[in-house]
Amino acid sequence: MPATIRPVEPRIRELAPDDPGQRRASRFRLGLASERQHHMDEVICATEAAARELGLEVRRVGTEADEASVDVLVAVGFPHYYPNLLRRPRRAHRILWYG
Amino acid sequence: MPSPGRGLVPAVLQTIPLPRLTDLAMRLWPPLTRWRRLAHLRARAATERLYAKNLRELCRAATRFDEVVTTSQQRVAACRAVGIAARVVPYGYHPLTTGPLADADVRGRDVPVLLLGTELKARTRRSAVIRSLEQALPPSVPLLTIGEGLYGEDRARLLRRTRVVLDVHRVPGSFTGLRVIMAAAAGAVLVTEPFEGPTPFAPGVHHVEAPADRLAEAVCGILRDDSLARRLVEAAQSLLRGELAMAACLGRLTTPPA
Repeated sequence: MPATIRPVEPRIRELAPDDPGQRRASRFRLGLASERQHHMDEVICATEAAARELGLEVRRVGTEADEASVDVLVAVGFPHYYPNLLRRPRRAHRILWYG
Repeated sequence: MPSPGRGLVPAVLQTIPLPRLTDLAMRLWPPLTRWRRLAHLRARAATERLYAKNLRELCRAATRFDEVVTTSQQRVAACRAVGIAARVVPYGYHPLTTGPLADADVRGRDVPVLLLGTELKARTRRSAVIRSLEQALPPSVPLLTIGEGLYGEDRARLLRRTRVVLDVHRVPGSFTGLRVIMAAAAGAVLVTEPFEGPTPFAPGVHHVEAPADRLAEAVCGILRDDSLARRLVEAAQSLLRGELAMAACLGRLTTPPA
């Protein structure tokens, strides 16, 4: 069955849109889904380092409580890397970075 | 997904996947392994099966996310075909995982061609292409293949000794951008089978594309022309410094389209 995504307004979007290369620190807390090792771990590490450079508050998210402490949650790679995330209720604006 | 047909053959194919069925037939009657059309059929079925499996997984999981962002136009098109709204933001470059940008001068590098990948020994389309590539390359251009287990600094060090990084696709046309980023960061040229929608990379500008049966020729062309190699690497590295810097990609990822 084709899935339709319900558009949800992210809670906080504060990245400066004028200069994509140098977007300034914003007021949102970024979570990076992390449940078990997989071959996208390097992309996650790179994303984490870039977020820190941008001045974002960033943390790894593995549980519902972790997710409740962030505003935007990014899951890198295939959905099956994150079985817990797929089961638990949504607590943040979730982005699947699928590649 | 094809709908199940009627009759014995469709019923068997529904129960036992075609790749497994051909494996079984080859095991029962080994001369079949020499039948190239069967090997080709098996490889194609395996690729389509993998593609369909990935798409089914995405369909099931998509409702658990507010946004799906993919790394290529090809994936966006595949998502749209099954009713999933998606946009493109490629994975970006960060020196933490791929190392600092290396000198684009490839002279003096001692690994002419490197191929990184998994399932290199399996009976797949990719391994068949690699075997014919090894035969097509001249003896002076040995192909170094590395399977799993090479990551981080070890991989970056090997890439910095390499002139050409080869990419033979598991799913033809599939593009995540990671290989182009790794190769460019290390100052090597990526020679690959044609990508579908490798935005923002452009063939002939940032990397070289050739069909499977002409990859060896493309590799030799790059190895003969240092100035071309340098131009390609410099162009790719300028993307890594700009729109493909991970900070820029993260900005686009978390900022929804207007």
